[in-house]
Amino acid sequence: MTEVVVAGIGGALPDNRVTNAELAEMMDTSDEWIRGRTGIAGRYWSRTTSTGDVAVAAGRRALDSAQRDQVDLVVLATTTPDHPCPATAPAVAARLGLGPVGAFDVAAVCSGFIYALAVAKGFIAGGLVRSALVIGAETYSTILDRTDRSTAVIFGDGAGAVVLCAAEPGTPAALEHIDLGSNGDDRQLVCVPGGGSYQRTRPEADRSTHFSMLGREVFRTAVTEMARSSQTVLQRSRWTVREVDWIVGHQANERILGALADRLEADREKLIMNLDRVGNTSAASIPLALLEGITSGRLRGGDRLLLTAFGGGTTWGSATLVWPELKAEPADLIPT
Amino acid sequence: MNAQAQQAVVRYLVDAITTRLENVDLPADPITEDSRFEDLGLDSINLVELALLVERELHVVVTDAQLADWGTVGAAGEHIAGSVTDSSTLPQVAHRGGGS
Repeated sequence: MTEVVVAGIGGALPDNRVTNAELAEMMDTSDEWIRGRTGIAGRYWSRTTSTGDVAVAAGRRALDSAQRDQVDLVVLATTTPDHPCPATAPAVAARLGLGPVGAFDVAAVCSGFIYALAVAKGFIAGGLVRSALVIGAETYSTILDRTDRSTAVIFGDGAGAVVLCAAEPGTPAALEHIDLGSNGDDRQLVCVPGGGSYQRTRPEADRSTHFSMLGREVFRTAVTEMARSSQTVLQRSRWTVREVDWIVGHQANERILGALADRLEADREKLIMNLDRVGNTSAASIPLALLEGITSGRLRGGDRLLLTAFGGGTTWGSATLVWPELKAEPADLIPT
Repeated sequence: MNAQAQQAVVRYLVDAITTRLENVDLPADPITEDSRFEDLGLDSINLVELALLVERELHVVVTDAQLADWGTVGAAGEHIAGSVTDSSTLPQVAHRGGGS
């Protein structure tokens, strides 16, 4: 079967870093409180840049990294699209000069990047396209209740992207296996209640368009499902945890990632993390963490990676891949 | 045997709270089976982490809400010990909890 390889990677952040100290002036919190519970020291919040804007910047960096100016497909994972209609991906494809390629959005909240990766891998492996630009892009600052310290301190804006290409069978640096899952009975754990057809068809429904999350329940379920999904893809790849060089989990919370490593009986040193600098960037978090792994010199060609994510829905997903030899620039800081 | 199992689980919980949970502001007094979770300087995530440790290592599914409802370390030990189906976890627990 056709193999699928990562050919390029890029990222972008809006150039407005918000520190914990600045948040402490806006709400009842402190640097110590935020760091102790989340591991986050700062995040980037947009002023004038939308999800499409950061997606374009990250996509351009990924295309540059892949030394390509064309792909056959654009899949964009986001919770915060530019508009309820149409999808953000076609505008991103047009702004990148990609011509009349297939382009659509994927909505799986913080698992979105893994879902988008699975979709693009399926398109390539099935022979529908030969290459794809997969983007995770978010501007959570636009949906946060900035008086709610349980969520506002956690999330940041940004985008990460990879270029996937078809390769000959047996190519060593390949995207190996992907596992996806969901449990809609837990949809209340992470949600934006209003703004959709549910609210418009039920007069009594919650009309809030702010993001809400049941933190403790999410913590527990995230650790449980990411561990279970990780073990599934590791078994499919016939890898042991010991054989994995790096675990790149969704950058939800440092303590969630620590508990995940413990549950997998993996050395915590294998966790690649950047949430201390950028916070939880939802669908963008895994490609931004991968980029951090490269630019910090830890992630090298031939390394075995486990990616895993959990998000609203609830949804979860994991992937195994062998990292290729790639050159990449640090995330583009774009004016906002 | 039940009392022994409970003691082993209590020692496990005390060991976990004092040495394995992060961001805990422990009180000066030693933790005993009469200690209440709410008095142990735990943050909002610590009981979830403790429940996950119990689930992984003792193979007993508990939630942070149950731990909070049970109130004390001793009561939690009693409930958890009563649900242990794999008794082979307990000697190991007793050894770990002994701090040797």
